[in-house]
Amino acid sequence: MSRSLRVGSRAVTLLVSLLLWMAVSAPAQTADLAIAVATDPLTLDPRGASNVISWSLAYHIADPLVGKDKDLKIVPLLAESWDRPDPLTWRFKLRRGVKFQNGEDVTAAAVKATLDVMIDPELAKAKKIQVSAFIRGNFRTVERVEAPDSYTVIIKTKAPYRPMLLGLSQLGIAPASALDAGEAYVAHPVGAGPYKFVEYVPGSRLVLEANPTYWGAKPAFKRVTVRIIPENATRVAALQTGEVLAIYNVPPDAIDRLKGNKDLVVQDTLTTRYNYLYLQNDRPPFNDKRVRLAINYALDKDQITRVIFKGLAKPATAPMGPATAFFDKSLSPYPFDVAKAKALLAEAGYPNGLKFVMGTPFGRFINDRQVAEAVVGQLAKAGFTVDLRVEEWGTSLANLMARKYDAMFGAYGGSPDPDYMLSWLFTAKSSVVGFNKPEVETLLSEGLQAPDDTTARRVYERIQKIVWADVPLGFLYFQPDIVAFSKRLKGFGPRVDEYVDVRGARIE
Amino acid sequence: MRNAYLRQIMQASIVLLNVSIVVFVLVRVVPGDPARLMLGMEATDEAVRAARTQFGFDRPFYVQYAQFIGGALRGDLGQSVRFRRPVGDLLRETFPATVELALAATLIALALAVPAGIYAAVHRGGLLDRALMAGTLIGQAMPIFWLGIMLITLFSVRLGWLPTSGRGSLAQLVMPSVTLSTYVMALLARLTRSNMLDVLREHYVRTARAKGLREIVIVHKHALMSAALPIITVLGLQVGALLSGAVVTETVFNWPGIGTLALRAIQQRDYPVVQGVVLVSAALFVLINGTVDVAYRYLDPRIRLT
Repeated sequence: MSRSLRVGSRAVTLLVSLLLWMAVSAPAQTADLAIAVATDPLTLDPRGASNVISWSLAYHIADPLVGKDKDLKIVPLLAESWDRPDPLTWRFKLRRGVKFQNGEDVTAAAVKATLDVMIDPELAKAKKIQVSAFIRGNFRTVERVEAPDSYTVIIKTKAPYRPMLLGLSQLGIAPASALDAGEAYVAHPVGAGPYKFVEYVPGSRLVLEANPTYWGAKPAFKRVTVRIIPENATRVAALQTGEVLAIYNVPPDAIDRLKGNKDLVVQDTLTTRYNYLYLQNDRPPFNDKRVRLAINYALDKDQITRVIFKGLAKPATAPMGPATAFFDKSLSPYPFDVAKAKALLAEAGYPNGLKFVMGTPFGRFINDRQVAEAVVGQLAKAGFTVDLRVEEWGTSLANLMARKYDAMFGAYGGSPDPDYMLSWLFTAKSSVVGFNKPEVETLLSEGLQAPDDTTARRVYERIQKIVWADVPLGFLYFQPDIVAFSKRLKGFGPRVDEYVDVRGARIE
Repeated sequence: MRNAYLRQIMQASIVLLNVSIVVFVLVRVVPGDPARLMLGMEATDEAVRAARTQFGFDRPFYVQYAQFIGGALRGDLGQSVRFRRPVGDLLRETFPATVELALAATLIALALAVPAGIYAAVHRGGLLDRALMAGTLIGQAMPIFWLGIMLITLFSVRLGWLPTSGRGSLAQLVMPSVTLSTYVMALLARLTRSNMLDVLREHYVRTARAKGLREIVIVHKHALMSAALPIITVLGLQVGALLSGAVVTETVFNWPGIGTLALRAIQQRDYPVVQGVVLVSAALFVLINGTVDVAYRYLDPRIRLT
C-alpha cells in the first residue's frame, strides 16, 4: 500500500521539480519598456486606422506632418513650417534630410501619395488600401494635393477648411512605395517615426524598436513592447508584478487597490469622449421633444458617476467631450427631477408611462452594462418601461446603424475637433438618430469654414446650445481615461485624446 | 481491417463537410457586418459597401461557400478581414500555442490524476480517498475563469513566483496548463478510481493475488491495464472540452492560441478566420478520436472492426 503512495508522491515530486525548473529558466526581461493595453489595434497602417488605439500606436511608427502635444496644441513634425496663403490653400515646408525607416527619403511625393489615397476612393480601391473613414473625413473638402518641389506640399481645398492641422495630426505619412505595396504594408508598416515596427502578434503583443536614424530627439527606449491584455484582472496583475510598467483602461474597481501600492501612480483625465443614449428623433415616441426631455430629467447622472465611476466621471454638460476644441463651458446638466419627467410624459400623452426598446453593447465602454442597467432602473421611476437588449459590440453596431431600437446606450470620442462628431450625428444625411435641423447644418458648414478660432468658437458654442436645448440624446456623462503606471516612469500619463503614447516617456 | 479504415475516413469527411456548412451559415446568420466593424460607425454606406465587395461578402451565399470549400480542399482558407493575412498563416502561428497548452494540461492531468485515482481505489474509504474525491468534485465544479484569476493573484501578485500571462518562457506555461488541466484531471481521477475498483474485484485479480504476486504488480500490471481503456476513451472525448476550455484559459492568461484568435474573429465577424478555426479544430477532434479508436485495437485485442 505504501508503495503505490510512494509511486504517486514520486510523480508529484517530479512534476513539482519540473515546474520549479520551468520557473527558474524564464528568460530575463529584455524589453526596455513594456506596457499593456486592453485591445488590439485594428490596423497599424496609419491610413487605415479607424480607432484611437490604432492611430495612436501607428503614431509611434509613422510621423505625421504635424503632431499634437498632450494639450492638443499643434507642433511641427515632418513639416517644419506651414502657412495659408489664401483660405483655400495650405502650404507645408518639409524638414530636409529626413528618411523613412526603409531608407527612402521623406519627400513631398510621399506626402502626396499618402494624402491622395485618402481623398480618392477609386485610387484606394485600385491599390487595395483600406482607408479609415474617420481619417478620410478630415480631408473630405480637399480638392487636390500638389508637390511643386521635393520639400513643398500644397493642399487645395474646395472650401475653406479650418480643422486641417488637427486632421493631418492623425495621419502618419507612409513612404511613396507604400502606395503599391498593398497588404504587405499593413503587415509591416514603415514610417518616419521614432520607433520601428518589429512584430505584431495578434492578441498578444506589438514590439517596436528605436529608430536610430530618427530626425528628432532620440527615442528613450531601445525596445517597446505593447502587450495586449483584454482581461482586466490579468492586466492589473501584470502591473502589480512589474511585468509591465504601465497599463491603460484601468477598471474603476481596481483603482483603490492600485493606489494602495506606493510604487504606482493612478492618473485620470476627462477626454473627448462622452456617453449618452441615442434616441430616434424622427419617430414615436422620441419625435416628441417632451418625451426626450422627460428622459433627460429622469436620468440621475450623479448617481451613475458617483456609484459606478467612483466620482471619476462627470455628468455631461454639453453634447461633446470636454477636451474637444471650442467646448462650451456655460451649460449645465438637466437636473434629476422625476416629478417633472412624469409631468412631461403626461403632457405628451403618456399619463400611464411608456414602453420602449433600448440596446446596449457590453464590454465596449467602461462599465457599459452596469450603466445601461442603472439607466433602466432610473427611467422606471419616471414611468418608462424599458426592454433592455444587451448585446456584444458587433451586433450592437449593426443594430445602431440599422436604427433598430428606439434608444441605445453609446459613446463618442477620439476626435479632438468638434466638426467630425457633430457633422456625423447632427447632419440629416448621416444621422443615426434621425436629427434634421437645417439651421444646425448651416452652422456646421460655417464652423468648418471659419477663418479664425474666435469665429469658430462662436459658431460651435451656438451649435452646442441648440443641440443641448433640443435634447436629441439622453445626455449622460463624460467618461474618464484612467492610466496606472510605475513611479519610475516619467513624462507619461493619460491624454485627453486617449492616445496610448510613450513618445515622451522615460525611466528614471 | 482496411475497409474499416476507409469507412472511418469516409465518416470523418462527412462530419467535416457538415461542420463546414454549419459554421458557414452560423457566422452569417449572426447580426453584424465585418466591413462596418472594420471601418467604424461614421463610415458612409458607400464605403462599407465597397469594403464588402472587396472582401467578397456581397456575392451570393452559394458562391461564397463554393469558394470557401474549394479553397479549403486546396489548403487555402482565405484571407482574414481584420489582419489582411492568409487564415492559414494565422492558424500556423496560433495553433502550436494551443496544442502546447492542451498537451501540457493533459500531461499534468494524467501525471496527477491516474496515481491519485489508483491510490484512492486501493485505499477506498480512507481519509485520503475521501479528501481526494472531495477535491475532484471541487475541481470539476470550479469555473476555469475564476481559478485562473485566483492563481494569478496568488502566484504572480502575492508570491511573485510566476509571470501573469503571455507565452514565450516555460514559466508562462505553468499556470495556464494547470488551470486548463483541472477539469480533465478531476474527471480522470474519478474515472481511474471507479474503474480500478471494478477491476480489483475481478476474478483474475484474485487469481493473481492467489499466485502470490506482489500487490504493486497486481495493481499496476493487471488492474491498470484493464482500467486504462475507458481512461483513454474519455481522454479522447475530452479534446473538445480542452479546446473550449482553452478559449477561456487563453483569455485569462493572454495566451496567443486559437481560442484567443477565434474570440477576436467572432467579435470582428472575421468570417474566414472563424471558419478556419472551427474547421481545423473539428478536423483535430475527428483525428484524435480516430486515433483513440486505433489505440483501442492495440489495447484490447477483443475489439476488432470488421
